[in-house]
Amino acid sequence: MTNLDSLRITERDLDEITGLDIGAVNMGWAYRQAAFAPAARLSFLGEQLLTLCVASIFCLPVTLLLARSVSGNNAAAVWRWLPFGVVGAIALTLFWALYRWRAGKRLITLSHLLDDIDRFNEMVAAVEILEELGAAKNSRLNLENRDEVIEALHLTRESLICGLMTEKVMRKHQQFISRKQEMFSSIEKNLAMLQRIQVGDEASEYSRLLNEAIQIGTSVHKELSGY
Amino acid sequence: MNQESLNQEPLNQAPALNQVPLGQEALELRRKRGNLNHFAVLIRLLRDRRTFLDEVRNEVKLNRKISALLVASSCFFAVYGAIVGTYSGGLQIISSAIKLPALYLITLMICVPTLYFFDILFGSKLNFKQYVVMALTSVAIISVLLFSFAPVILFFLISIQDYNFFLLLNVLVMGLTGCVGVRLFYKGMVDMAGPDGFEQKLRLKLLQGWVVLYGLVGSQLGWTLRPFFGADNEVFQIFRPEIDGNFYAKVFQTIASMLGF
Repeated sequence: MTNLDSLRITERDLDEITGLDIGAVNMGWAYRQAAFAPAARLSFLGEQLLTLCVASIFCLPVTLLLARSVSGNNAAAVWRWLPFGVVGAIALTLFWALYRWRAGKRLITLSHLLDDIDRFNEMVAAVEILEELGAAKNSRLNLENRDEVIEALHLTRESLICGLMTEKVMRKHQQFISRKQEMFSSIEKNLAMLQRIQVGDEASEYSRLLNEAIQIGTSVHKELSGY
Repeated sequence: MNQESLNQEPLNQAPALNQVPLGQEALELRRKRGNLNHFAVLIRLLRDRRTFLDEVRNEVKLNRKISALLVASSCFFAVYGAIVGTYSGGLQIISSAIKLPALYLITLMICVPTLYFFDILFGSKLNFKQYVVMALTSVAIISVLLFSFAPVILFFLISIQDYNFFLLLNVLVMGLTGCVGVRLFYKGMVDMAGPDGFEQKLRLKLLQGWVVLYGLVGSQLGWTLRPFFGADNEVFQIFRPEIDGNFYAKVFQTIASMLGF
């Protein structure tokens, strides 16, 4: 049985390849598109609330201390300045969210590639589960196409890594076109090979994974061709 | 290869997958856990400080560490501040819940640039983010230690209604936690610099001087932001009207008052 751990693209791999701090909803300080997905809305709002709390911690006391200093220690004037502190905290929160959103827009290709990588890692996990189930007695799961799926996963991984590297090269050195072309041709080659793999039984789990691999490969190709 | 066909063909081959993306639920679950990660970073710092410092040295996920430590320490300070504020109750609870995190974090904001610029002047190779993470590490440790003292403070708050005692108890707790946090920061900075990093005595002295500066700025800011729990029989005040005096004079005065001088 093949150890599939080596196939997984870990967060550390992503950090090293992209040169950014990659998380489930962030790329460095920038937001990934996943942060705005309907299912992540609650988490997003929670984060904004936390940011507002931290902003208040900085803005309110500083504003009020300034008010005290300017007004010559007048307590009534300090109270009058309170709304300015609140507005400052809200403005800081909005500015920070806007900055992260705009930074995310600039990294839209990377964001899509990272979504593909998430899907890929989930695929690897699914194959692992299928293998464990297949190894169990009385399992009636279809084990056909297994080698093809592993091959497809290898090709997809290679394409994704190539995609990330191309994106980084393009992001950092816009004029460094030759390297981009070299990597892009590798992605095209992998995708062509993926499409050549015959998908026999459409209903089996492995065929489903194979199709997913082809979809990811297509997505990577599409993202990079738009650069 | 025809680009159009690359974009279209595989999608047609797998229509079902478009409707039910593989592992989507697991992915969403991971995203929902994002806010909890703030505390996970802090727990990891407490459990395995050496690995954490190695990561800071190698600049691993510094952004995440900054935001996580900032949020987690703010929460712990706010909880402790709110508990301290219950001595007077009402608005003092909200006021202290904001002012206590502000005391520690603004002190940090004031002092970190001094450390950074002086240290790079004398040969440090660390970047500003690394300094911020290291400083936040000490503040986060202080916040957790304060939070751990919260039940003790709550107990004394319920059992003894003596302003001077409560004041000195809090000074003691904050002083103790502050010393532990700053000591760990100092050791961490020496560790980060490596065996050769602090061969220059000047840099070591500089770090020690910065620790003293941090304490002085913190105590004076605490004096400026007071009250944190409000005196007996006094209406709520955002700040005390009298600006004169200093933290140390007040502590000595309180001790003298308790001893009957």
